[in-house]
Amino acid sequence: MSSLFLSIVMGTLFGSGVYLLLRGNVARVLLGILLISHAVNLALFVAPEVGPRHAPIISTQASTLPEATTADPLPQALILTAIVIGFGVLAFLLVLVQQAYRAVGSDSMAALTEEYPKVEYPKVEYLKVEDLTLRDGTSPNIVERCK
Amino acid sequence: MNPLAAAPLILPLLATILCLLAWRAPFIQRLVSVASSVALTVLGLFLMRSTADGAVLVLQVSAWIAPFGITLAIDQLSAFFALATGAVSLIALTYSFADVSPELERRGFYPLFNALLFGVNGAFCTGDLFNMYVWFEVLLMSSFVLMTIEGSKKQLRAGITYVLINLLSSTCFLIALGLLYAQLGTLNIAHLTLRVAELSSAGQAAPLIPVGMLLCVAFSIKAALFPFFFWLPGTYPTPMPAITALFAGLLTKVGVYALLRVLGMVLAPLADNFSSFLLWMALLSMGTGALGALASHSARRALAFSIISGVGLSVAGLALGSAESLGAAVFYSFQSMVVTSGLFLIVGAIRAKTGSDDLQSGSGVFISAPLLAALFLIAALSLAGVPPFPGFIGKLLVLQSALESASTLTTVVVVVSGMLSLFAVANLWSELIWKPRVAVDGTNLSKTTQPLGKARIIGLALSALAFLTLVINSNDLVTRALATGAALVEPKQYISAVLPFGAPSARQVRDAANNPTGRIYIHKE
Repeated sequence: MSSLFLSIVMGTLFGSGVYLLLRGNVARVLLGILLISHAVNLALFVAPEVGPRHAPIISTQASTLPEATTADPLPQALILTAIVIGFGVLAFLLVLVQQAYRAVGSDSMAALTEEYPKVEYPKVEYLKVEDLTLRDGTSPNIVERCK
Repeated sequence: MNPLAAAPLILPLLATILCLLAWRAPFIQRLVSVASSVALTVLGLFLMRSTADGAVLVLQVSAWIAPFGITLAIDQLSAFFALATGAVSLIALTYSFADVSPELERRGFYPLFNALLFGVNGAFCTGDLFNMYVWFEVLLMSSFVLMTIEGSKKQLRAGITYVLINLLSSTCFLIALGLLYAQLGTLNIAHLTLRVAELSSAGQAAPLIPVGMLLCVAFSIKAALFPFFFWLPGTYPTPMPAITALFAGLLTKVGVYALLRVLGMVLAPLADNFSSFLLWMALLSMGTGALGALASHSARRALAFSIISGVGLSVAGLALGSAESLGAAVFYSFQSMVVTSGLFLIVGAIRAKTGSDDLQSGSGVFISAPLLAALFLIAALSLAGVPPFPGFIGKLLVLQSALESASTLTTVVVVVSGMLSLFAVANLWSELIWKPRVAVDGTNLSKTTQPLGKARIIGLALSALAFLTLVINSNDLVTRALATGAALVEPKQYISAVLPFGAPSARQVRDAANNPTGRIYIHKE
């Protein structure tokens, strides 16, 4: 029952995370990443059977752990590691996004991740009639000739 | 138990710590980094020697027996990649002295460099999948910072794409790990291999197929395989040449290593479900890589596309699934680590010398630095797969196994993409190297060059030396690679080295209170 509930929560988190990830605004993308990482932590959490269990501590007389009633400690260690790593990466990402925002001046993902090449047209300099010289060294005075 | 299995991790970790301690003394940082890289290369050679007979060096961290603790295991595959890591790091490091400004040193270039190697070697040497995830994050974190360390607008932009795509890949990996643990109750690679083989012989392995697909996606993003390659050409060329060379040599190959280890060994009994899918991805990457290289307007971008093509060839070897084809994949990845990183350095040197690697304007390097041009030609021909260079041998091996498995499509794609990449190399040669550099006003700039500087020359010389060693030893290396492929297909030695008493059953776990260390031991019975 509890694992069904957790699965639904997980699915909602994944869905909302992916939705946010596909938005064009960088803050939403970050929130999407955050939600997805929570969903993944939950996925690790439900890896073993979830429910009220004993701590996995063995008694002095026993030789084995009663599997049916003890919790599996490993996924919790995995989640803890994943949380710490996710936190670190997210912190770096936040700083990176802020730096990029400062440099680019926009919070749209398109502007933050892609550079649209600026088209520069070559500067054309038109010749002026006054600058021309004829073969004999004189300048062509068109106005005079027209007269 | 062999403490040597931790050495590839401890060396760069120690170097990172020493570099951090010597924060204000860049000279000491440089010295420590060089010493660590040299030691890593020597260690790589030593590991190659000590795993030559198929031995697996195993260290169970703090004596927790597998699969309860963290296992470090170095087999032939790990040794191959660890050696290439050492060599590539040394080459990139010496070259980087030319480009790393005091400002970058103050921002912690050397500690990050060593931390990256720490993560890469960790991923190659670990015997536990969750641990591999952690190493991935260690190396990614350093690579994130290294990519954006100069802080230019272009790098920040590339950095965001790079970080986001890698976060997605890590997410896929982590979900897959959760599912894997839920189904098999272990994440130790040797134990997983055993359990998957058990389940598949009992015909119950079907639920593992989606997990395999997820892992495949996660590693393909890292390795830049066909549908997931789009982040690479935009991001890899942005940092300085030494960092690009390091990334090109190591990071995509970490993905290839993970694919080889997980799909080639752990999930090998389920290979039929993945191989056609993986083969298509590989063939399409080869095609797109070669075409992209042809269409690129700068040499760096063309090389970035050629990485994708190379990864495609390695993965085609994996997808064909025989011992020979896996061996071919190992050899091809190994040689391409050295060759690709060298090519990026050469193009970096061309840019430093002539100020351009643009195919339109040309560099005229053939006139100003014929030796550099020759170096470029040799490495590029190896990349294109022209005999007698190692790239050719790798392609030939893949081609042979494609013919053996009667896969006509693979054969055709390998040959055609090989021709296309030769064409791309010829294009680079004529447009970048041969063409004189002409300014807008028509003056020939070919003779106006900057001196290369000692660091670049030493870096390139080391790269050439590594290449030469590769060529001379290619026969031995191919034999070793084929043995590695056979060991991946039949991982008995790996499993028995990591789990000397077999997979533990609950009955074998003895009462922890009876032994003074409080650790769990397993009866040898």
